[in-house]
Amino acid sequence: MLNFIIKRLLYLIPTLLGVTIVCFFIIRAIPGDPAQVIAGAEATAEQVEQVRAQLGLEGTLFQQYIDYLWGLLQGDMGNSLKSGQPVLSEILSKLPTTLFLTGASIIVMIVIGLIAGVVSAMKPNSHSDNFFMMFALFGISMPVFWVGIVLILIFSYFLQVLPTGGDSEFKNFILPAITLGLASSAILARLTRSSMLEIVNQDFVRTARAKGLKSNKIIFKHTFRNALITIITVIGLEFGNLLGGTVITETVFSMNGLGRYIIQAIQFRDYPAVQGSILFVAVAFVLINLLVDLTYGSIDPRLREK
Amino acid sequence: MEKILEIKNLKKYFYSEGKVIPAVDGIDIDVKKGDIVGIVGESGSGKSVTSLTTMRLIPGDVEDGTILFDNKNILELPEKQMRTIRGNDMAMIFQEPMTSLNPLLTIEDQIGEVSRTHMGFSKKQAKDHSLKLLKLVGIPRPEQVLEEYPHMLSGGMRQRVMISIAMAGNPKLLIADEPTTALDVTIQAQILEQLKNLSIEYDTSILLITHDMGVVAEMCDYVYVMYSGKIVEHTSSINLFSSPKHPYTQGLLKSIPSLDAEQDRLYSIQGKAPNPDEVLEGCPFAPRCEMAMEICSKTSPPLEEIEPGHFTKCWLYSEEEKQKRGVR
Repeated sequence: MLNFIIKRLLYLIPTLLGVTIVCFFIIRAIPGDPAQVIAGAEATAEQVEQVRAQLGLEGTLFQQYIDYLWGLLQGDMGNSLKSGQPVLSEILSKLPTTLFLTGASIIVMIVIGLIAGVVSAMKPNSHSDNFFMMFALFGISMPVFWVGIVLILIFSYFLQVLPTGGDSEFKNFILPAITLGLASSAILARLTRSSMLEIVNQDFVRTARAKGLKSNKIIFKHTFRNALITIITVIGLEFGNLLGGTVITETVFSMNGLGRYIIQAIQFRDYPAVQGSILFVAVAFVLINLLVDLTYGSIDPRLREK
Repeated sequence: MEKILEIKNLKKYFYSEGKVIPAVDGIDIDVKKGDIVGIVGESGSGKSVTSLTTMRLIPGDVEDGTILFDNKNILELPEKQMRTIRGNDMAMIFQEPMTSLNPLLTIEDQIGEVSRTHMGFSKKQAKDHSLKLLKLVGIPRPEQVLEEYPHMLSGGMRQRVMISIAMAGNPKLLIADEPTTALDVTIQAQILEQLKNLSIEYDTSILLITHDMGVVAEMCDYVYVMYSGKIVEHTSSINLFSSPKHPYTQGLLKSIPSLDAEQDRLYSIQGKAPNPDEVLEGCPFAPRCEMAMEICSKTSPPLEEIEPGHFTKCWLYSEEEKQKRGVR
């Protein structure tokens, strides 16, 4: 078990190296010059070069990448081109908001997705099944930013019960978490339903019924547990989507998190800030999927390491 | 002797794409207390539907008929009451031991579930009970097996676990649906032996569904031969093997390879079983029957007692037809 975890953590190294390479070069491939942005539109070519030197953006790209990597190994993600502050501390100050938002939206996804999926699977083609699957179709089809705006309109403007944005209090997170979690809950609901329906037709569920067990034992102990492998896989993958989705959600709800930080950094061509944030997101994604793999073993004895 | 199970005129139809599929079409089956009764037939003859309907494990109502279990018509019981019978007084073993156990639960949990549900046992009591059951079905190192998961056991072992699950409620009737079909021959013999011993020791009646005449000969006191959703012959197994009456039964027995006689080719019944949704006038076996007469394809014969205790559904034995053919 411990070996498995260590092995997986070692895999992190090449993964993250890949992330830095892709991220480093792609952000520089986007048209736009941070030195030009900072120096202003009327700056002369010399002034721009001077700014470029101050920002440490001279030399070949390869040279810059090696410098960046060397800095990373020492725990230095560079300074933001925009604020001049260390990127690491800026990210750490934004991270709690984003993690809290992602966590809350995962809860929204799991609660809505599992209830809708299980209830639908219990009576396929019934009214409740049709209702939930209709809901799932809407959930998948509606773009996140639009859902956010509609929710703001209903709950903040008409009903005036929840704030339109911000991130200081718990109630600030309610609308964004629903906005972000809704699409994922729809996907989860559909997959939960289909994997439950697949398991229900298995021979061992028939055995469970032949034992004279009560229906909730049959549904939860025998069917749902077997469907969990699929469900947890989806939750792990959706975590990535949710993390990516914070970029839009935080913007719509003007929350001061990592998502909005990335958007602003990209607009400003703030290379170190973009690279640092994406590295954090990548690490989070890899760790969550490691957690998912570890959970498999605790559910299914066949997947346990010998 | 008293009957534990009495199926009367049972009809179970399925409806698919506007077609009616009479999977079980008016059958009567009796199982006496302590007896092992076989239902023989090929795939699609309705034997599994009969067994699952008896357990009420098939959704939907039956078209007609009653199933008296211990003198109660279980088809009229509310589901909640049926649940107290299932796995308790009436238990079932399935064909596929490889897939019939839940892969995520320990053997202890899967056997113990029955006594915890039906007898209100505590976890500890259920464990002791499960251990006793595993010993009963002859599982080696039972203490360890309790902690194990199905994928760690062989097919034969899993089927023994299935039997201990079925025996957990000390059932009055055990329905075994092709319990040895998926197992290799040596294990097959052991499992059958085990079932027979359990039946004697605990006075449990067994309804044994099979397509294997050898299994019937080994196990059964009484046999029903099913073809196309109907019973075509039933009698004691001694009668059946010594003088089979229905041409279908005769064909089945002839198609068992013999070690004594020299045979170039194995006998087989010509043609194939009718599709369940085919509507046939007359006897459903007529198209494949070597003895078919004119009447066979027109009218279905009645199920009649042609010798004491020997019933068959064939025109060959009706008085009129015998006279026509000059048979006395």
